[in-house]
Amino acid sequence: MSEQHFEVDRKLHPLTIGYRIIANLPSLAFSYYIATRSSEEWFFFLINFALGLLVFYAFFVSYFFITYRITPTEFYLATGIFSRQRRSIPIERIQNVAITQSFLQRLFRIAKVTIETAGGTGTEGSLEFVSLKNANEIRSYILSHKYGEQTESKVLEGDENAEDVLHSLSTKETWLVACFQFSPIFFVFVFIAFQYLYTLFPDSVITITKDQIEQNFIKQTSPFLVALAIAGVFFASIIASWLLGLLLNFNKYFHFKAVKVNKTVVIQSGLFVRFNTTIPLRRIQAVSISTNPLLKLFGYSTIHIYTAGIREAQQLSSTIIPLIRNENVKEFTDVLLGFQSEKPKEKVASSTFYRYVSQGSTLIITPSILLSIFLSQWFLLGAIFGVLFIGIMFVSVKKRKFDVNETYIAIQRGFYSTIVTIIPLRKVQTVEYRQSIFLKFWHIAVITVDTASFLGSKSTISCLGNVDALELTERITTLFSHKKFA
Amino acid sequence: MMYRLDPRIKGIWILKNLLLSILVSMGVLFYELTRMFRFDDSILFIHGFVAFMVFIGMSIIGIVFPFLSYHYWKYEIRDNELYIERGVLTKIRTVAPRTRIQHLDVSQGIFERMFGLARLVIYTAGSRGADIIIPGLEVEFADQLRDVLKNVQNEDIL
Repeated sequence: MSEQHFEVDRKLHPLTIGYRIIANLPSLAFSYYIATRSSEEWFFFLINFALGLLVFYAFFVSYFFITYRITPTEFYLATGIFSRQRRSIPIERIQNVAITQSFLQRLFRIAKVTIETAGGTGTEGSLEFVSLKNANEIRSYILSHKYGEQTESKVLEGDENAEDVLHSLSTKETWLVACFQFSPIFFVFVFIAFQYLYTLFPDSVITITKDQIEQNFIKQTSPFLVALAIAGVFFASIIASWLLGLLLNFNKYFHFKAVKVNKTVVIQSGLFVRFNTTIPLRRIQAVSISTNPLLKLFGYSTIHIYTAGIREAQQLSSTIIPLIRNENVKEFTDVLLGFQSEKPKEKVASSTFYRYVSQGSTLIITPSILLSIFLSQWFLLGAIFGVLFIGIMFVSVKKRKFDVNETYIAIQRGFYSTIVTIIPLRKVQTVEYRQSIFLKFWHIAVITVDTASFLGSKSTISCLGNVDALELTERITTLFSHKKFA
Repeated sequence: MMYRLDPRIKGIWILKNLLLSILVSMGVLFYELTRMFRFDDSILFIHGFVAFMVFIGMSIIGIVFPFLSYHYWKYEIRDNELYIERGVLTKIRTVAPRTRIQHLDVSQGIFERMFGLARLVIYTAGSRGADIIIPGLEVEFADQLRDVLKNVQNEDIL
């Protein structure tokens, strides 16, 4: 076998140094530019020179003082020059293996291999960088020893058989995904960027002097114009952030492909940065299927796969399968989980809604009534918010459904989007029954099912009748702690 | 059989609460002395009155509450799982199967050492970390409990 050579100490790809130098050139050039601009040139030049040396030293350390070794039982990584750190990860504990390749890395024909385990946040082991060929070999080596089966490395490189492809996106569909994914974080970025626009067009900015403020400059301008300007900036930034998100998501989901290879799912995507993630089916903690009215119109859903390791690339514990046709969803989740699953049907307690009504009225209406003694318009505002809150809660309580049986727990939640989370019972770690004094008043309780992957409120059945909740806690416990999962 | 905590845990909790109320009232006293509260024409003008009231109020709650939480704190070691029931205002029942236990700690803080008690921390692979803590166990009993809980064939559940 050609993969035997991983069992001796190995170094990273020699081009690592070259890549690091090129990748850091812009920042080095920038600091050099700063240094040459300053008045005390020689002093800053010296500092810059020292910094440069330090950076280059770090580059050399990151190549010459890293060795790795992969044996059938463990992944071993030794780093550092003064404080030497040796880390070994049992192959058995590896959650998934990801290969990432940015545009520049692709030119160098090198790739980053990330090894995720369940413990802690972040990545336990990463190899920066090895050649793409080696990266694929490392992954198939790890996976084959994990399962005691031979995984053809040829398959992992993308020549898979057509029937193994679970899901793939055409370029047109990628545009569709990019259009739908609007992230508020981009909005913040764009808004910040707008602040710096005036440096490009200094003439367009009206400077208000102190005298003008004293002459009530703002009051003299028409309030309509001010409102228009604010609305204009708001919409411009929404459109700009949507465009930014569109391009970023297009880059992220370009040529998306999910393939089943033996007992793993391999997900590939990306235009400039290629992601190549391998998730062993056994390691999947939960699967959630989400849809919203817009996606529903086109007949699509989104699937999230939850694993215990933190996905470094997305800073999430989930992997997203975007834009999957509704008729394929069931088949896909069945492949991921290894059993048949249905949409949840059981409804939560009807008093849940009244709980939110009382919560909404106490939280929003009461303070506004108190304030209305001083300011009458606050009452109206409070009432509007209260009614909105109650409306939202009515819809979201209507959407809450759940189902518990011998193999899985299914929980449906959501307001705008509907999220169905399917948690296999064999992955449940603890069950918690919680009843605060407010919930006690309405005779309802909340059940939270904890797994190794962070699911947040998606793993909470809220709220159930008092007695039902106790019974259900007991039932879930009996189902998952008395049964042996092979 | 439902177990209760060692009654001495109430002492630890009361001590901790009293310390907290001293700390808080010290803070209030500091603000009072630096004239943050200006109650010129009332009994509240006497320096230290507000701080004293805060101390008294917090101490009363801090003494009563441990008795209540002791009353509601119960746990049970069942054949297959560990069951915990607790909470005064919010009732919480936690179930952790014994096969899911990753590792166990017996730890003692300074107050616990004073009272000769220990706490058992039970770790599962769950995302909420070390959620399961049984406080107020006699040291020998905590060790016994740990040994009982650890003797389980762990499944490869992840």
